Amino acid sequence: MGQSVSRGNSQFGVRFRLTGVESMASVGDRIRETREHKGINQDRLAEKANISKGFLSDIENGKRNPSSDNLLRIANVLGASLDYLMKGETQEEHQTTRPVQIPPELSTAAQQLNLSFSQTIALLDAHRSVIARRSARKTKNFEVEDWIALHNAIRGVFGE
Amino acid sequence: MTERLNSNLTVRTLARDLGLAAGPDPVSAVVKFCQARIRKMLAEMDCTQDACGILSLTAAKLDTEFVDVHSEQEAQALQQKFVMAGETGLALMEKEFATGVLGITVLRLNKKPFERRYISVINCCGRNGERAYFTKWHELVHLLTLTDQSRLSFRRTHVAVDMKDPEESLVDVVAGHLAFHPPLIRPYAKRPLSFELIEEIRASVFPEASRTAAILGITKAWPHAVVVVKAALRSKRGMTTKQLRAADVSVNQAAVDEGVAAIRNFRVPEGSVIHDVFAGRANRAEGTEPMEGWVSSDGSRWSGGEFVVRAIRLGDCVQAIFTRN
Repeated sequence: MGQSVSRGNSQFGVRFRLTGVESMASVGDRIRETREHKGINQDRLAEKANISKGFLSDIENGKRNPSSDNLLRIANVLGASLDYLMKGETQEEHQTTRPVQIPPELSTAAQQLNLSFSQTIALLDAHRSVIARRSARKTKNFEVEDWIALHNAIRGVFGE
Repeated sequence: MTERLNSNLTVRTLARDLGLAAGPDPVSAVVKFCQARIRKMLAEMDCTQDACGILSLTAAKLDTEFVDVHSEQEAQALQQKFVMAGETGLALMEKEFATGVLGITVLRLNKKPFERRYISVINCCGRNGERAYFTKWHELVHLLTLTDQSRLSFRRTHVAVDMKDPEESLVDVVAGHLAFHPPLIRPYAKRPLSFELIEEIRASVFPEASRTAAILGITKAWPHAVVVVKAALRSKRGMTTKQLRAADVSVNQAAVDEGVAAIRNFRVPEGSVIHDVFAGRANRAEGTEPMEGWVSSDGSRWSGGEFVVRAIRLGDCVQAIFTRN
């Protein structure tokens, strides 16, 4: 259920989507829902956002509206999207239709690790999800051993 | 550095990909593009426009969540938490932070509806905390200049040459402009610029900025002519004898507009107060000196007329700011 709203930003290929439940809910509802999902109580959110608990409660109950400053502070504490809190909108990425290009170093690593195609793509996705990096050191190519290290680091988290 | 960046193909391609008519100065075009985007964000939301507020609002509008990491243990725990949540791009975060990476921004692979699209993890361990303010702006500039071309192709970690990526250098230049938002500095501009005033501005307006970043950022944004020189022992190319030279030079736009020209590696003139400080005759010194006193062996000179030079000792270097008053 839901209603797609195409408000495409042609440069970034992002679409906005309103889901059925969220489009009826208020800012306060979404703040409460997000807060509860993150396991934060009202006291803690209010303290970290530098607002009173009473004011937060009124916001969540729809009795008062937060100012832009307060909404921004609440969003920062929750790590929440401003668009989601304000409008119930979530941004979706366009699916790319370009063919997948697996770098030769990853191909070699995948062979050495005996990875399936989907495991190789998952590794590629992990690496490609890094949009930016600030480093005091010079950049270098991602070599075979780097792909293996990434694979092992991911596996290590899951205790494999 | 800006001249080299202006003629760099990667920088010119980025400007083109952003739809900018860059001309001979793509760096300035990118700076203005980013400044315009931030002005639009500030106009859309009536939030407090101090340095922290602008940083925070820009991050929210660019849909990235800043996560500060203060220790190795915290890095380990967060890495575990993110990877368990499906954000495998951060699987090497702990190792990367241990080897000098200051910030990493990833696109969430497993985003919940209420979450921001990106996570920017900032290395605040030890002294890296002093650089966190600038690192955050660095990460935001990457997001401000993200294009379809950059998102869909391998770029940053597949640079084939072992040198600082020109796009990273460009991002640093742009971040320097954005981190020290000129309207926040302008109220102080009736007073003569000094190291004490820079520190006053840093402490009250940009408390999260490092002193080094503040000297460069505030002088760049200053509405009057300023030149910043870091003097250190350096040798001329091809020679071994070291002399006190301008190891780094920064000329702000107001100075450029007045025709001031200053180039790196010129010898510090004998009569300059910079020598007094370097030689230990004073911890700090001030004097009025002509730019034309800086002369190269081939006869070329700096230009710009008389400036008040204020110099202080900084480790084994001397930092000096040149102002008209």
